[in-house]
Amino acid sequence: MKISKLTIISFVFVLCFLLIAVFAHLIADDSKAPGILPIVKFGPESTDIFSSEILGRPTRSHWFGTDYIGRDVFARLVHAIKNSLFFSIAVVLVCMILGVLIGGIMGFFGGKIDLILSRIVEVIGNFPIFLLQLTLLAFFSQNYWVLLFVMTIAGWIPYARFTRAEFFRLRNQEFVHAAEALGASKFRIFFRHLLPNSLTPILIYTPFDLSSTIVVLGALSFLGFGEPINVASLGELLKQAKDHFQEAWWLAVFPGVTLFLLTLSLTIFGSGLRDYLDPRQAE
Amino acid sequence: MSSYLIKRVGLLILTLFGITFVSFIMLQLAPGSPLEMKLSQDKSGGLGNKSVITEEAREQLKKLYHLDKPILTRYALWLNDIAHLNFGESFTDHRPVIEKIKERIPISLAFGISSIVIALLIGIPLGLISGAKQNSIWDRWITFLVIAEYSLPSYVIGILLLTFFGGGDFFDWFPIYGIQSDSYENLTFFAKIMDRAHHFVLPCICYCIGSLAFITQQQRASFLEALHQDYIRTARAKGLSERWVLLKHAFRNSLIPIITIVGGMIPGILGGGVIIESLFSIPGLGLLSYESLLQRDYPTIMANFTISAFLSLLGIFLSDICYVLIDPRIDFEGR
Repeated sequence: MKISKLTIISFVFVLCFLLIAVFAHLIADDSKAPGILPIVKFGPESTDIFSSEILGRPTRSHWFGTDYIGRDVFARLVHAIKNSLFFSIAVVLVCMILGVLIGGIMGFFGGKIDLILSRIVEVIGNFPIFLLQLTLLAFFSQNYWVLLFVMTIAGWIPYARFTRAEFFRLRNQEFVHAAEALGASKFRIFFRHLLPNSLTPILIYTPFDLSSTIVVLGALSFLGFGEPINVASLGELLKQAKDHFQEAWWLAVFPGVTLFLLTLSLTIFGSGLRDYLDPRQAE
Repeated sequence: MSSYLIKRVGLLILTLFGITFVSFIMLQLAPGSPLEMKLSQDKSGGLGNKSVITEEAREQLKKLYHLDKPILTRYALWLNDIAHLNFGESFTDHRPVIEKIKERIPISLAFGISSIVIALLIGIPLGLISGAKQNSIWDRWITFLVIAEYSLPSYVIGILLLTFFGGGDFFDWFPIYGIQSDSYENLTFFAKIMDRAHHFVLPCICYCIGSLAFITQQQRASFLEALHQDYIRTARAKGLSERWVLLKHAFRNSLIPIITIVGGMIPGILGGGVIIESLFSIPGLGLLSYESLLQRDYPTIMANFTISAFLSLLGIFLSDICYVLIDPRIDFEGR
């Protein structure tokens, strides 16, 4: 199967975002540490003492303008990419591990365990998740652990569904029976034989999940219930844009386009990955 | 059929139970017991003097919130209250919560339904073109459009629309606030309609984009699936014109899944309502949710959550039922 140009371009974009995230402090930082020469001399929190202008237009020193308390939007955006991307990756990883384990248990043991867990999966799947997340976040103080918990509530379910289906499919295959006949322990069959063979659908789903996690995280921060207050994030910048949309177009356009490009490249990359790994699903 | 229905109803009841249970647990976990919250609310809302709460008043409030009873009894009472749509009074204006919700529902419903209808009117033809001319340049562009729409969250679209058309540095084309102008009452009938429509445009675009992508994609997929059926081959073998085959045979059958996914879109609309209504200050259910969340108005929050959950559940349930009712080929017992 040939990999399309679009997939490669989107992969390059994803890579660029990752690099920006990893090297955020080399791109925009106000620390005077020796040996580090950031491209932009503002950090996400720093204000420019010479021309600290509130809601300043894009200029030569502030490429993307300044926000409502005079912070550099470019620097904030770079760090927002870092914060949003890394936290979303953490959420996706936790959901994945949780979902694969629960789905694996469902598919491996079947019977009553599967029945009970399946009902739980269906019940949670019917919840209006976004409202539940907002409600929970309004009840608890804003910190990353609560946010992680709230975003995992429903996030593990697709992973559990995929893993369960794969385990059911594989459980009666000959290599599993062979392993059993050779006296392999249940633990070994679970982790060495079944799990590695059921990862393809999970791998395919991950880029899409990462993309939608970033969107949901942005939505929560946009409403003011996401990341801790004042942490630079894509949603936080867009919330500022909402409060000042008549005065500062740069607050809306740059973070909005960034978020769009990030999710778009992840989605296109995901579709390319799906077509490559599982040609049957490709239309 | 009946066993399938029983299964669905069972799941519905189970989910309702789960939702009420979660709401109840959250009420219990809320920072400060409901009693403390009520007391502090009354204090701050009072005359400002140090109102000493008598032991008697405290007991009365405890009774009101059933805090003198064991936890399971309290859950049963809470269920009973919900069943009678008794969600208590709002902390902010002391009106019964259910009244506030009732006056908001029509507004949200109007936006929700009309945006779904518009999305259907645009999405179905797009999906049809895309599916009928598979792998053509049209198909590619429409598919790309769908992906782009998926990647554009409603809040980003909303912000960009407001920035460009809401009277900032660019165009001042559309009103940015509410559902009608201040002078609405003095307008003629025709002007009233125009005024509403004018306010309606931007939020509706936001509502539509997400569901449009979904509908286009579903329509394309189901049309392609219909094209691979035996009856299409038969129709072609009979010598019917290609146009007739596509429109009469494939298109009509491909509509079945589309009709049924509409119900499943209700949760998304309710969830998206919080974002879009707060962005455009539309006084609907979503804005009520948002305001009550900001003000930590717990009775309203819980009522909103429970009712929204119930509505979306109903939507999913109805679309499931529709699915089996409309399509006689589905094997009920096998599900």
